[in-house]
Amino acid sequence: MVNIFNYIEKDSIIHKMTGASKLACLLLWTFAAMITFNTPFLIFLSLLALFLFPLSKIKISEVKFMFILLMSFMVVNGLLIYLFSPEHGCSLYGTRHLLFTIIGRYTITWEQLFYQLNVMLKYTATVPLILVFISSTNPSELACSLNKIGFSYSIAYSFSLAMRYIPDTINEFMDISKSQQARGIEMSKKEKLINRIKSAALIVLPLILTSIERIDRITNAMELRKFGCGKKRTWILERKFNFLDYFALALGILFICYSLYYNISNGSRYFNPFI
Amino acid sequence: MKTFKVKDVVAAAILAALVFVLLRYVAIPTPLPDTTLSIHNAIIAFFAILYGPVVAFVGGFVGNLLVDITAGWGIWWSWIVPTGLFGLIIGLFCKFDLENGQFGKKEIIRLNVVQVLAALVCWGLVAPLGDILFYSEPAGKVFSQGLCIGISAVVCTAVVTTLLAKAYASSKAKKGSLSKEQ
Amino acid sequence: MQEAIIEFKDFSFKYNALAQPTLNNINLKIYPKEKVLIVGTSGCGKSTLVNCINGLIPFTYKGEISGTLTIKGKKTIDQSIVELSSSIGTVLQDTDCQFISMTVLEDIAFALENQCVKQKEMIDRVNRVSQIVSMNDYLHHAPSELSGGQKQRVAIAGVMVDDVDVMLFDEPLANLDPATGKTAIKLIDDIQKKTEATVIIVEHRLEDVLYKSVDRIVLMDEGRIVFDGNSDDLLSLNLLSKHGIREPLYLSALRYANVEINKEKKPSHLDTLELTVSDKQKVKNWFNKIVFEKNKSSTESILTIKNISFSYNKKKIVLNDISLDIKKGELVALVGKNGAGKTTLAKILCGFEKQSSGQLYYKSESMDDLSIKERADKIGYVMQNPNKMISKVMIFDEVALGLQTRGYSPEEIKVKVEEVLKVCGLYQYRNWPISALSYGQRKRVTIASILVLDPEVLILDEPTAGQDFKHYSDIMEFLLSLHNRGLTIIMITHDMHLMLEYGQRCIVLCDGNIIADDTSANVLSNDEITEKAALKRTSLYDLAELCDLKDGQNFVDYFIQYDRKVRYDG
Repeated sequence: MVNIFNYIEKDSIIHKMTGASKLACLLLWTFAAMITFNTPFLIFLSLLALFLFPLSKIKISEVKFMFILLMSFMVVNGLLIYLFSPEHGCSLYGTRHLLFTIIGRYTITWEQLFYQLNVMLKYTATVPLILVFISSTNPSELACSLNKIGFSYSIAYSFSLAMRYIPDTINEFMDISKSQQARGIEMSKKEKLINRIKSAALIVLPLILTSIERIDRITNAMELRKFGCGKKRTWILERKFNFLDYFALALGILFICYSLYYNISNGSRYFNPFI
Repeated sequence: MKTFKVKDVVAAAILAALVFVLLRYVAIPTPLPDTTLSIHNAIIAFFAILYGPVVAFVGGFVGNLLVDITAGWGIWWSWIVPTGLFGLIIGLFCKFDLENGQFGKKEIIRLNVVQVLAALVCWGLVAPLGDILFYSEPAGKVFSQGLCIGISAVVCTAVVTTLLAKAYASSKAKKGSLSKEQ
Repeated sequence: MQEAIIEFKDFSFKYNALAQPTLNNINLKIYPKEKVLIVGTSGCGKSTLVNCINGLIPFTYKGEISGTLTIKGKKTIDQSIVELSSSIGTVLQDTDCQFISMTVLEDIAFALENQCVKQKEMIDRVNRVSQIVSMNDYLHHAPSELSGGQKQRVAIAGVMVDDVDVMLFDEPLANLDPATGKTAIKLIDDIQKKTEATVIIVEHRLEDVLYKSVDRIVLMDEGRIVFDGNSDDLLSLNLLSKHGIREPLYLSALRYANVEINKEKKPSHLDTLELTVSDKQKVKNWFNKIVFEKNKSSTESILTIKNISFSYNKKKIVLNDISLDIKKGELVALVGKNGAGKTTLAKILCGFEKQSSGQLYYKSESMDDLSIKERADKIGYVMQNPNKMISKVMIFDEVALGLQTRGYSPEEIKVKVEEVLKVCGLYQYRNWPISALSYGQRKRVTIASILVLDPEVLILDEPTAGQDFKHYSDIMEFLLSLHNRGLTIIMITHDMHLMLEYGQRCIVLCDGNIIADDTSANVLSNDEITEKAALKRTSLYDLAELCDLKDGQNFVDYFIQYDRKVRYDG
């Protein structure tokens, strides 16, 4: 099976929490980290996020692949920022402490280093959390969780249906694309770009048309089993909140409140060590 | 607003699955080094015409979100929202009756004008401004990224969506005029 | 007299998109606890009838209705689809689309969740029905971890859980291998006995459904009911073949032997069939007239497979050291249950997958370094669903696509495409859009688009799945005509008729190993192999036993040849 969600079944307190509370906490936590450049707070969140790995009994090696992706993404993104704006940090913090100049406008300043450290901290404060979430939450529980934190059950079910049909769609795509390759439709570099896009269209056309047929059939299957008959629906996998769930919720709310409070009381989103 | 029907739920979900698969598995190489095109935006545009703005928004949004969640680079709300928004705008302004074979020159022009404007809003404004607002990223960088993605969305939509819609509309066209030839 | 639970009165229905009504003046009563089988060719209106009962007509598919349909004394037109589905449960043909949840547990509970049933009650009810369909050990499995038969069990549980009065089965055998199909028919029978629900089965595979008896058979053709009565009566009449349904093979054999079939002989099942001594003698006499034509077989190998193994992620072994030699001009049936490795083997031949070890030779030249595209010039692969292969609007363009990508000139393309279209009987449609074609014609288009590349080997995945007898015969006779032109054909199939009638050589895969390589008649007479491959012993063999004929395999062979003569050669 194509396990797109990388769910790893374990017996840990994180696994025992309900998907709804974890999801709510994840969203609040992510937003708290997103809106601020409060460096000590971001460091705190990063350390806390890393601490979740032992707590959920998930070994770094089990999510190694995604960690490598995260690292390479941070490096590429950091380089891009520097290439486009080597002194962006100076304009943000209002001072300029030059360390040395590489060439032309490419200088190294404390401000830029500090700014890029903050950008990195924003990832490290949130991505490990996402990794823990998807490794410790049964995808089945996600639709129910979304519904519980306030989304309509239709939207929540779209989410679940999408995950249900992703593996089927992958297999179908692979089959179609191979059989089209046999007829000579390719997207390789040999062709002109516009022809490559046209080839892609020829490959996806059968996929789209069979998907439209499938939509009709799934709709019938759902209507015949009364989906959408009431304003609400129940979920067989729904679980009651326990102490930890309330704790996670409270923690999320606390973080976002603190972030907002800091931004307002500080007069700016930035923790500025240069003044 | 009319309610989200069962068929809309399913169409949005299948669109999300398609977006996921296309974003993860279909990369068209471009002349630029290490840059690939993805045609998921073209599929979102096609669903927008066929199923309307809400389906396209939810499908695009959920599909892109699932990619971000499972990819390991964090959740980039400022890029997820435009993916859905692109479909929403096209769905709002391109209501063609594909089921009855309506897709001629007039519709092609309308689709392409709308999609260029939609791309301008999504990747010229929303995405880069979001990045500047939340991540304080340098404007030069995010606008360049937006430009790349916007252009690729426009090119793919112009080619792929037009082809798809034409094929779909002609498959629904009246069959009465056909006769066997010897 | 009991009240009918479903009653059609002078009922007609016409889809908005069509000019002619699909159902014409239907009068049909179905009583509680009855088990009714509705048979008919595709397009006879049987699926439309099902959709009228479950409410998809008129709530999803719009059209004109005249006459009335009442369910439990209420007219359906006055009810909503939700109300209707509280008494009618439908098990759809496509179990992949019916299985909409992430796990078995959730899918069975789906209808209950939608009605806001309390969690505790849901769990009780799911546990109860999952035991009835023996899926209680799989509650946390995802659909991709289940076989077709298991998915169908889940679908059945998913409608049973709602305590419906009527269960509708739309072509329950379409996607199952013969052995699983047999189990499914038995399961439906058991469930009806346990729940006392009314059961309606729609199928065209009559012999397979009749494995367990039904109370009534309704035969439909062109939107009308042409027969409504019990199975013994129907089988005694000569109605079935007239209306495009294949009668059980043992009955065809009896008819060829001039044995009179009447309802006193209880022809519905082989177990109950009563043959007199003179009947048996007639069968023996018929068989003894045999003249065998030996199949001419070539000695030149076209495909040689040497020690091929394949595994996903080095964990799950799909193919285990397979060696095979396919001769030029052979017609091969590749069979085995789901997951036995048939499709994987085909994909390796076409280069869609790379073998973990072993070598492939085409006319004794190694193929290992050839790309997918290069192999396609030698070996063509036709997928089961033609819609997955069609990417152009017009027939001509679709067939020409492979030539265009190979750089042929427009003149060459025109000549080649027209020639192939003539071979495939599509020439007169060459300027039509593909959407105007029937399923069978689309299949021909996909075959034409492969043939235009001049491959010498053609691999087809389930060429006749879900097709009724007429379409099955059309497709297979077409393939046979290609074969007679010298093409080597390999068919992946579950269909026992196809194996028997067209597979000159039958290769059986089981758990990644070849367990038999023989004639189809021999394979389908061998209990050990049929069981391992999820096949079923053919009823012809059983008939031979019943008539005290020792030479069962030859009897099967003889029947097939005789049947061909009668049906095609006149």
